[in-house]
Amino acid sequence: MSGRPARSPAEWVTFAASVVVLVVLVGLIGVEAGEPDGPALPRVVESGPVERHGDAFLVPVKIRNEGGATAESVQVAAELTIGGQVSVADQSVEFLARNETAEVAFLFVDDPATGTLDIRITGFTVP
Amino acid sequence: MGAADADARDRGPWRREATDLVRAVSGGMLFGIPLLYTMEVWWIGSQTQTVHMLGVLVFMFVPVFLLNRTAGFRTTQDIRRRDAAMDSVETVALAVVSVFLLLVLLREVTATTPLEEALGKIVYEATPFAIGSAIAQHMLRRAPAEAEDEATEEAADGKGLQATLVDVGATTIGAVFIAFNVAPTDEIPMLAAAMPAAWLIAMVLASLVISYCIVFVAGFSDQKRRRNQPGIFQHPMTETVASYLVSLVVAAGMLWFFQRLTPEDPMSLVVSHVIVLGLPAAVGGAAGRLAV
Repeated sequence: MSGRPARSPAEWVTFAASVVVLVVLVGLIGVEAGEPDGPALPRVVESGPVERHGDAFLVPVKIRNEGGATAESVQVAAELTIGGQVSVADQSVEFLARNETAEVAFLFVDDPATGTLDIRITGFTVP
Repeated sequence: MGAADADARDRGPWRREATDLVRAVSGGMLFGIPLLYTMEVWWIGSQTQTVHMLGVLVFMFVPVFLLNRTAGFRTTQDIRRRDAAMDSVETVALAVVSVFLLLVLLREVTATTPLEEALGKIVYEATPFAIGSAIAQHMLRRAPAEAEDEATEEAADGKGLQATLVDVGATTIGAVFIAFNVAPTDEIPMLAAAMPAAWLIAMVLASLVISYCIVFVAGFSDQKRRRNQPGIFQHPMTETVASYLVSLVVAAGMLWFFQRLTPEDPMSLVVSHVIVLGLPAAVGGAAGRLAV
C-alpha cells in the first residue's frame, strides 16, 4: 500500500459517474418526499375472473394501498353466501407500501357465480 | 513500495481502476450478502420515510469515510481527507448501483415495486455493502509479492489432486461460513417461490461471474497463486465452474441439515432453493479459496 498519487482520468470518470448516481438517488428521494402524506388505505381493486381447479374455485384478488403510508399485516376476508349458507376465507399480506399492489387468491368449494361474494379489507397494522 | 503496487501501475490506469472497482464490489458482496438475504431489512426499507432515507444516506458516509482513510478499496492509501471523501462518494454510489442490481436479481425490486419502497430497500441494503467495500483492501489483504512468489512455487511443487482437494475443502469451508446463517431462514423459500426459470438461470450466471471476479479479478491476496494453481481444475474458468458446483452441493447439504429440503420435495423446488442459496455459498466459497 502506498500514498495516493494524482487522480488518473479513469478515477475522475468513476468519481463523476458516482456523483451522478448519488444526485439521481437524492433527486428520486426528493420527488417521493413531495408526494402527499396520509394514512395507509388498502383497498380491493380487482377480483376475478374465477377459475375452476378440479373441485375448487379460485378467486384471484388484487389489493392496492392508495393511502400515503405503508400498511402492515393487511387482512383480507372473502365471504361467499349461497342460499343463506356463508363460507368465509381469509388472507393476509405482510407489507403493502404506498401505491403497491399485491395479489392474493381465495379457494371455495362452491362456485362463487352461484352466490354473492363479498371481498373486503378487514384491518391492518400501522407500522 | 511493494512490487504489487508496481504491478498494479503496469496494468494502466483504466484497467487498474476497473480492478479497484471490482475489488470494492467484491468486498461489498462478502460483507453485505447476508443482509441482502434478510427480509426484515427489506421490510424496514419498505416502510421507511423519505426523510429517514436521507438520514441513512448521510450516516452511511461517516463510517465509509473513516474506513476509506485507513483501509478503502484501492491499493493506495488515502492520506488526504479530500481523497478519502471522493473515494467515499464512489464507495456509496457503487454500493447503491450494486445493491439495486442484486435486489432486481432477487426480485425484491421489480417493475411494479413502488419507487419509495425500492429506494428504501436500496438505501438500507447499501449501508453494509458500502462498509464492506470500504474495508475491501483489508478484508482479504494483498500478500507481499515475495510471499506470492513463494506460494506460487509451493503450489507448483504440490500434487494436482492434493491441490484440488485443498480447493474443494476451502470452497466448502467458505461456503458454510457465509451461507450457514442464511440456509435455515424463510428467505430462501420466499425468494425461490418468486423466481421463474429464466431468473434462476440469471442467478447461476451472476453467481459464476461474482465468484470469478472475487478470485481472479479483484486483486485480493493470493490471486497470482490462484492463477498458477496446479489442481485438476487449474484454469480460472474451470475452477470457477467446479467451485460453484461444490458450493451448490454444500448449499444442498445445509438445506438438508436444517430440514428445509426433504427427499419428498419435488426436484424443481430442490433446484430453485439450492440455486438461491448457491449465490451466498459461491461468494463464501470464493473467499475461502483466497483465504487458504
